[in-house]
Amino acid sequence: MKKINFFIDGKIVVAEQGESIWKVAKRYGNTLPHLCYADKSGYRADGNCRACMVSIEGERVLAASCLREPSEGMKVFTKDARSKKSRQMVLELLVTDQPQIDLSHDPESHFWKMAEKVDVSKSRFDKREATMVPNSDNSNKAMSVNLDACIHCNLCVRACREVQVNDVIGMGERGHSSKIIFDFDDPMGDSTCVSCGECVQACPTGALMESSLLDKSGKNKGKHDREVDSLCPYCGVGCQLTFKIKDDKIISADGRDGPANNSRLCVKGRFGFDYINNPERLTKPLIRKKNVKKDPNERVDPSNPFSHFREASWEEALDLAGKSLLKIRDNVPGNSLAGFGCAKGSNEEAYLFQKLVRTGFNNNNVDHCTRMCHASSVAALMEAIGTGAVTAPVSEVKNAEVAIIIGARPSQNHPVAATFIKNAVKKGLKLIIMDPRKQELSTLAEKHLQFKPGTDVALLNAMLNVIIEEGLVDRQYIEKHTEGYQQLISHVKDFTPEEMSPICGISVDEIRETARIFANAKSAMIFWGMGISQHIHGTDNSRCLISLALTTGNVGRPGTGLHPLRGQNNVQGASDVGLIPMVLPDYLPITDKKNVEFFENYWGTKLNPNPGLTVVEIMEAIYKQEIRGLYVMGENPAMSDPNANHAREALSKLDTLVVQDIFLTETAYLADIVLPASAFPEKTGTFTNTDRRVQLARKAVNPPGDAKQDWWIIQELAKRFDLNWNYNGPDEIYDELRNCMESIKNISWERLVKEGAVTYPCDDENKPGNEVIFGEGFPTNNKKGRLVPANVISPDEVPDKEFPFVLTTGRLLEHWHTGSMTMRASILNSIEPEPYVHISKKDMKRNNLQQNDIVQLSTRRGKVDVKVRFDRMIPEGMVFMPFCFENAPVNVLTNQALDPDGKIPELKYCAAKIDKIQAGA
Amino acid sequence: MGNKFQNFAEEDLQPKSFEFNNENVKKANEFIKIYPQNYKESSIMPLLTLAQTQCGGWLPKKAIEYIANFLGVSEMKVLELATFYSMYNLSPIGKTHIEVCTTTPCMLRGSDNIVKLCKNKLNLNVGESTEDGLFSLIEVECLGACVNAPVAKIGDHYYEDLNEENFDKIIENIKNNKKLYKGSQILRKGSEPYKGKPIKI
Repeated sequence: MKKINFFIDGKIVVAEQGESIWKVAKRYGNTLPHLCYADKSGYRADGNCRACMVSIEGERVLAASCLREPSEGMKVFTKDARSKKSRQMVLELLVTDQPQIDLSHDPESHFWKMAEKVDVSKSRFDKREATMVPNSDNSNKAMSVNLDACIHCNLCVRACREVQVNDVIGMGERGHSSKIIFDFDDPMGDSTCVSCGECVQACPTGALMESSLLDKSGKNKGKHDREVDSLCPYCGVGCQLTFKIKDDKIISADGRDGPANNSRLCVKGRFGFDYINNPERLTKPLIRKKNVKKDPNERVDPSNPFSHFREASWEEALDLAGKSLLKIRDNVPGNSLAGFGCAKGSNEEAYLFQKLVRTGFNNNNVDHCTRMCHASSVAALMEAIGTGAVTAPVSEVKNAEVAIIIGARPSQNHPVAATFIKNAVKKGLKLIIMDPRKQELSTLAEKHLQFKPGTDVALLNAMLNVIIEEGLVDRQYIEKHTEGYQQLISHVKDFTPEEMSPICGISVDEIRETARIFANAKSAMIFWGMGISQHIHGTDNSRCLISLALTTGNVGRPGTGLHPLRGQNNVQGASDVGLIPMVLPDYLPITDKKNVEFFENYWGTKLNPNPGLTVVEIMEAIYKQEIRGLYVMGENPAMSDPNANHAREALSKLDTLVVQDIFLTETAYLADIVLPASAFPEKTGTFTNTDRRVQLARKAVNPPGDAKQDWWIIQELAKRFDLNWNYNGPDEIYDELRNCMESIKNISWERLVKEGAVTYPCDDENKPGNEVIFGEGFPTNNKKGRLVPANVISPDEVPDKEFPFVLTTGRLLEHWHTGSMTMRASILNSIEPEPYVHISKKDMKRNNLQQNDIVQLSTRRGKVDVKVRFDRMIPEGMVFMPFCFENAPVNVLTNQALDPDGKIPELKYCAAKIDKIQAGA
Repeated sequence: MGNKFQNFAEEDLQPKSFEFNNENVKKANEFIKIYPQNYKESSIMPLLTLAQTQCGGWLPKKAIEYIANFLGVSEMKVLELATFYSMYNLSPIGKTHIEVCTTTPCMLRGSDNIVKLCKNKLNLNVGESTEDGLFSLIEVECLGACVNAPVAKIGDHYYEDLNEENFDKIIENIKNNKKLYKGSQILRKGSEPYKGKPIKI
């Protein structure tokens, strides 16, 4: 591209095409004052504050350098008296109405730094009348709005409208009375604000601030002492952030410019950290008291566990755990031990955990919550393209022409990923959403196919039928990169839109049109989530999606790809390093002798060559008392497993249950030994996000009391299994796992320290990782992707007269998983403090229900009492309930029927009924 | 220049729903056709005007939501425009809405007297409506008819060359449901020089 030569203050400088004068000046070491301009990706220059004015030879008026692009030979002056005075005047005028600096909301704000830069600290002008000064709005739980400090730069408007695309903030009214408004000029807390805090991060004056940083009068409580660059502990998006720490407590978090988040965060990532300071944190090892029986229905008070447990030393607790587990291993025939690892822990912890089970427990009964989320997707992907990971990162959506989102609700569960999708829609992406429920993204979508729950295969096969019958396939791609096309043709021949339309509830025309939009796109991506995988036909659902992408050649090019959105922050990494019963690290099947031999060598011990059991199977084996000892690290099966009453009963039957966690979880109620572990901000380690990016998290604060690093605990337990482990830290563990995993071989710890994130696969230590993969074939035997036909299977338990509703489960924006963290994060919990069952207006009417009425929601497996909430996103005949609430655990209702390939339970579909118990207050 | 009509009406005054009548749907679609497809925002203002007329001179929240949905733009974009322009009212106005221009030329030619007259005669303050809901009064910025100052806009029409006398008559006529003479009240043609007796102001 052509470069532009021009002059700044007499010095010749070179600009790239499209670069502003401000940016060039900065590159040459001259950062001009700026207020309404943020030098961050996603933020367009607006040129409204006039703090960055420069003069240009031959031009009558000054120019806003943030907006103006140079032309060849242009002579720009930044140090002349005129432009300097002009910039000063802007700041002086703005200082006039600012709160006094020592009483201000943010004395360290960007605004005051800029004022200092141009030597302005006072104003000669009269302040506005006291009655004109807006009052603070503290209605939002997380953020306070102090418009007395607002300079109308509209960065928050751009943050909300153009970056996060929520469009809640606007500039209302005009002239003297113009002001920042939320929705219909509502208090921020009553508006549709999702509390992502992007505006807070963008605000240059402290007019929008984290409430926790201000005292009651709105004055700043004081600056942080130090900053630590780390990651967000919640979802699979893998946002990079910076913790701000004061007196060894995290006081706030700012988004960092990571490849997966471009400095963006969501409500959880920005405001959800004080759970680590919750008084219920486990700080000492606990041992179950001798005479306390395990009652599956009993609740232990996490703030006073001494009714059931007594404190113990680490030495005693670990010795007891080791001894009891060893006793079971050596005395009970068969594979009598099992372990549930954790997708929230680091790669190092997951690696050590599976190594302990495989080399210490002497079996492969090691699994984790991936079984509850994407096991079926991984099964289908492994079968079709030889790998379980995504083929392209979320950010690739910017290059896509069409994107399908099916069975996923990114704006709730992957909020930051959703922002990139929304950005792409604004730039022309055609979004197709398929979801029985409406969702936030629906309004932006080209099409929303609201199909009947559980009929994914019918809909997708009909689309495949149209694509094949109408010749919309990519013949060349099919020829070169796939196998099984002929079988697919004959299979989907019967799935005509006419036949499938009544099954899935989408009209024939809609199906045809959608299929055409997708197949005719030059580039298309498919995103999916639990709505696809958590079915007994989860693997079939995924197979259809893979076939859609493969038949249209939408893999391996920019803007194409298959992307199962990962739930947990390290579910990708935990699976990669082998926290799965049938594969060793790097997905090497344990059934292959070669792999077993390799690891027997690598670990210097004999291995059990038989695949182990999966989560639900382990639970079943525990119930049958075949497995008698269980080691749970960070998981909470008593809440997350389907048919949770059954799971709790099983757990209570164990001879030894060792739970390692940061809180006394519902699972830990039934434990024999509880080991206090460290929370995410308390540890260093690597985490792999949904995009296959390996990222480094750094320890920000110390664990409380005697709580220990998880890797240390696993190692100490391993020592009690006579394993000679002597790791000194996560870096050493990472080196060991890196050297047995081809995929991340070229990503060294040092590199991660330096670069923060590297995507695997990575061809060379000096090259960046490959973002979009499989352009040249797949890691299968013949390099071809397999097209596997899928049959229409109805859900395991369909509604009937007695149980007329379809019950589906999921998460809320504010709550994470089983809620053990977010329920204890004060801000998140105050936004969504209590459980609701979500229901459509028509069904509410039909059942004579009002908002907040208390109902009994029941299925064949259990019942919970819960309040009713009207939800316009829900279709008739369906109810939704989040599974995070301990006092209304929806998983006592869900069905544990399994997908035959993925062994994933059907959490997204079961029959339920609603009975009104009590009118709402 | 804020007046209460530019604040949102109380919740009990807000209708539960809004949609264009058939005629306005047709008109709205005509407006949309004028602008390029990728500039949906361009049609916001004419549609707001349609809605305001349909609702009797003001914009309920539901109308703003409706237009946002109608065009597929965000509510905030519609709202920003609706709150920016003084021509859009966000709460109910009187049956007769009087907008007196008080910008410099009109002020020099006696617009203050016109405002005062309204206050006295109708017991009506600027930015308010009468209790019976028949009249409402606001001051506005330049109406662009300075040559015939002072000027007031009543309903959809301009009334020019006002003085206390003729304005008083206009109000009487409105009250008595009599026909109004629009334009110059001293019967000037356009803005031709005035040939009659000098007007007392």
